[in-house]
Formats: sequence, structure tokens, C-alpha cells
Amino acid sequence: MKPSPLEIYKLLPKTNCKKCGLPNCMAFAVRLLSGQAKIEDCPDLVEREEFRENYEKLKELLGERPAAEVSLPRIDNEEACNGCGICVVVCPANARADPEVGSGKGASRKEGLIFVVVNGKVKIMDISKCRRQEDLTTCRVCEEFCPNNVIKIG
Amino acid sequence: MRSFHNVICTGCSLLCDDIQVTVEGSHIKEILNACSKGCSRFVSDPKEGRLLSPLIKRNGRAEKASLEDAVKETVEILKTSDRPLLYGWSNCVSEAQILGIKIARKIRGAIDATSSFCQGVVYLAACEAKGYHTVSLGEVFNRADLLVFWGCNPADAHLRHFSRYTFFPRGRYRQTGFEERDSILIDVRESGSAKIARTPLIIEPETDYELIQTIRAIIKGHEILHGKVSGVDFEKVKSIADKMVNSRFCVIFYGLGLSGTKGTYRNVSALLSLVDDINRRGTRCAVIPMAGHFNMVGFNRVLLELTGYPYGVDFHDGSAYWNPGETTAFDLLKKEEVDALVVVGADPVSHFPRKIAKYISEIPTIYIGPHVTPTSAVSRVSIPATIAGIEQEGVAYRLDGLPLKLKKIADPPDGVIPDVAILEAILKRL
Ligand code: SF4
Ligand code: SF4
Ligand code: SF4
Repeated sequence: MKPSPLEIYKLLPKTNCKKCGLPNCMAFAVRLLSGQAKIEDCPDLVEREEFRENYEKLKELLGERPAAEVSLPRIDNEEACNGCGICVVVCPANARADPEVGSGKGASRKEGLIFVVVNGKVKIMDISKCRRQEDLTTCRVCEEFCPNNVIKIG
Repeated sequence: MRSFHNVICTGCSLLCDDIQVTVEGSHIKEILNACSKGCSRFVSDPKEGRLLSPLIKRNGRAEKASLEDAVKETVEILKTSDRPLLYGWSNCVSEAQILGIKIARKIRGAIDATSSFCQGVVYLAACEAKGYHTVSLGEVFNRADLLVFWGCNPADAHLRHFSRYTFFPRGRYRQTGFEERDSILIDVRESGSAKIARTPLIIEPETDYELIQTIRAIIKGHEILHGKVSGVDFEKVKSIADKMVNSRFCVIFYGLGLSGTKGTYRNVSALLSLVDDINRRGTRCAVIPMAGHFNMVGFNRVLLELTGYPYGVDFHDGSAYWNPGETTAFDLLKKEEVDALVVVGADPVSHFPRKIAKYISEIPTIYIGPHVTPTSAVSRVSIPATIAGIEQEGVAYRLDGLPLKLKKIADPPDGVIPDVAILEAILKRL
């Protein structure tokens, strides 16, 4: 059974000390769950005696389990892409990075976006923004709506 | 290296105005946001397939000539002709279209565009349906919650239609974009757009009229006795009619699959009546024809403004006269009435039936345009022109009728001048 982020959060120091590099313990819990962070990234948990028990429990919960694979979209068949821009507009992460893109207008810059159409073909610029990785959603609308089956997830 | 922002693409009548182009010298390096169709218009090799010098055919052989001589020869042909026709106009800026109309008026010729058998028929249909409801694309993406694609396939012909203007954009009153919209595709086959449309409706060929009138009858509350309409179960047709009247803002896009099949403009006029019926039921509903070439709508609008008629206008007796089927290019050429033809930015030899193409090669033809085409090959005089929107600025009308100013972003090949200047020179000498 996969633990919930809340279960993991309960075992963390809950001090939001930011030493792991994330804004709060909840965000760290989510990352732990997705395998994008290790328990050892939290120094307090490892070093301080009062967390020893929690540390062990966490290791039990997450430790042996291989980090969850997040499959991200990739361009499978660039030849077939006709630059229709549907992926660019439909992707919620693209729309969050640039609301103008979300309302249909083409990108005014390439940085910080996932999909951009360059010279009539789609290009993936910054896949780390994908919500499957950032927020662990099950989003796959880019794959679903590409009329030419260019984008594949998994 | 220079960057141009918000360049307008002339790849199709959507005239996407958000293209970024990086130019190095006269070489286009990078194009951002344009679809592949638009890109191929921007990056076509400036020399490849271009007409670079005026040509005049003497004794069956095309010889290089000066622009001066080519214009002189053109004027000579037009002056001695009794029934000249000026054809094309969908791929050039409206400034050129206006000059074309002036020339036609002066030489008492006929003028027509490619739209006479394409989307121009909406005007003919509108005469019958007493006008029509339409909207701008901006309104579509901000408000529309039901999109109907009838006999058109934007996924192949207007590539950014779904993403830029209709189904996917998050608009002011449709903040989550496609989640708040529904779409219906009505066509005779499962086209590329069927993947996008929530409800594809595949009907039997040439039964559009029947389907439209059935939906009208349902909306008006009449009883339908048949189990099947246009090859589709009645229940399904009823659900579509219900969707239309129950939506808040329904926009219907139609293409040649409706206006170019059996019934032609009568299909369109029935559709316009359907739109009117839906509006009477309190649902906002509008129709937008899917024009093809980038300034096809411009020609109709300009001609309508200057003569009162949208296409196929004949100035034979000195005043504008319009009678589709008589004064339209196709019919004039089919009846072999035309004795001199001016083609501006079109290629009738490849697009018309073989018999008409042969006739065009027999009469004196003048071709004005950027590329070498089968039409330029049979022309008596060919004059090279710049490419609108890349080497030449000017006004073009988007498919919803919005005029936009095209930019000049690259220099034309040496000695090649805009069609506007060529037509001006011709008009001055007539
Ligand atoms: S999966 Fe969703 S968030 Fe990720 S790239 Fe595709 S559309 Fe964007
Ligand atoms: S990847 Fe698919 S959706 Fe994206 S631009 Fe290419 S064809 Fe369109
Ligand atoms: S949809 Fe049409 S206007 Fe827009 S980029 Fe493509 S070809 Fe150009």
C-alpha cells in the first residue's frame, strides 16, 4: 500500500525549517513519496535524537520501496507533428507559466515553458515543470489531445 | 540578426498574429509559434520556384523583358480585348484588390476571386436567408461553449484553429478552456478533427440539407416520422439539436464539405436559417465560413464595399452587374467568353478542369505573382511580384472579417516589386 503524503508528513519534524531546500514539510513529504527526495535530505530527522523513532518508521514506509517512477511526456514521433499548438495551449503547466499561452496566444519566450512550437515542430523546453512531476497529478491531456499522436507518456 | 514580434502569418485565413521571426540578412533563421503550414510559407527558399524577371512570350517562346515592356504589352492586350477577366485576388493584399477593381471598371471587364465557388457563397445564401449572424474569433474564444464544425476539417486546413481561437484557449468567460466547451463535428468521414470533437456525427454524403432541415424541424417542435436522417439515428440527431438550443453560445464553422457539395449555397442558406431559429429560441448562435486563402474574405469585403456585390462582378455595360452562374470566372471561362485574362496570385490552370485550363492557354493571359506556376507557364506575359506579409506590407482580412496590417520582414529578390506597384503602373497607362 502506498502511504499518503499526510501519513509521511506526520512523521516529519513539521518545523518547516527549509533545510531540505523546500518551502515546507508538506512539500518535502510529497517529494519523498514521488522519490524525488531522500529521507536523508532532512538533516534534523537524521541527526536529532527525538526523531530517531520517526526516522526508522519512515525508512520502513519508504526505504525498501523503489522510488516511484514518474513517467513524463516525450516526443515520440516528431515527423508527424504539424505545429498545431494544441499541446502548447492545453498543458496546464504551460498555462501557469504564461497565462497568455494558456489563452491561445503563442509563446513570447521559450524559457520556462514545457512545449513551444519552433519552426513548425513541437519542442520540449523544460519538462521539470510537468505537473505529473511537480504536483504528482495524473494529467495527460497533452498526449490525449495531440491529433497526430506525437506525444507519448510512459 | 533581427527579431520581429507579432508577425502575421499568411499561411491560411486565420492570419495568426503572434509569430516571432528571427532574420539574419535575408535568411529567415527561426520561426516561433507558426504551424508547419505557416513555416513553409516563411522559409520557402527565396530563389526556388520564384519568378525573378518579367517574361513575354513571342512565337511560343518566353523571353526575358523589362518591367516597362511587360506593362506595355499588358496594357496593349487589355485595350484590344472585348471581354477581359481579372481573376485571383485571394493571395494578395486588399490594396491590390482595390486597384484590380479600378482596372476592371476602367476596361469594362469582369473581376472574380477564387471564393466564387468557395466561401463567397455565404453572401448569396445571406440574400436568401435575409442576412446572417456572425461573430469575431475573439468572441468565440472568450464566450463560446458549443462549437460545431460542419463539413470542414480544421485539423488539416487551419492548423491552429482549435488551439488559438476555438476549443482549447482559456477565455474570459471560459476560464478552464476545453473543459467548459463542447464540440460537434458533422462530416461524411472521420477526419483528423474527429479526435478533437466530443461528438462526431458521420452522415451520408450529400445529405446535409436534409439534416439541417430536420434539426430545424426538431427545434420548432415538429414531429419527425423517420427513424433515420442522413443515415444517422433520429435519437442522435435529436440530441444534437438539443445540445444546440441548450448551449449558451453556439458557433458553427462550415467548410467546403457543406458549401461545395450537392445543394451548394442552398445548404448554406438553410444553415443560416437554422442559426436564426436557434437565436429566436434565446440561444446566441453565429456562423463563420472557413475561408481558405489568406485574403479571400478581404476580396469579398472590398468588392462589396466598392460595388455592392461580393464576387463575380461584371462591368461590361459600364456599371457593376452580378449574376452568379453568369458573371463568375468559372462560367465565363467555361462559355469561352473571355478573350483576355489577368491572373493575380492564383493558379487557375492547375485548379480548373482540363478543358478550361486548355482554353486559358489559348487566350492572351497575363500572370502577376511571386512563383512560377502552371499558369505562369502558359501566360503571354508574366510579371514577378513580392510575397505579401513577408516582403510586402498591406491589409488582409481574417476569416471572421477583421482587417489586419501585414508586416514586411525580409527584402524581396532584386528587381521584384509589389503587385500594388505593378497594378498601379497598368492602371496609369490604360
Ligand atoms: S502531462 Fe500535463 S502538465 Fe505534463 S506536459 Fe502534459 S499537459 Fe503538461
Ligand atoms: S505535438 Fe501534437 S499537439 Fe503538439 S503541436 Fe505537434 S501535432 Fe500539435
Ligand atoms: S494556422 Fe494558418 S495563419 Fe496560423 S500559423 Fe498556421 S498557416 Fe499561419
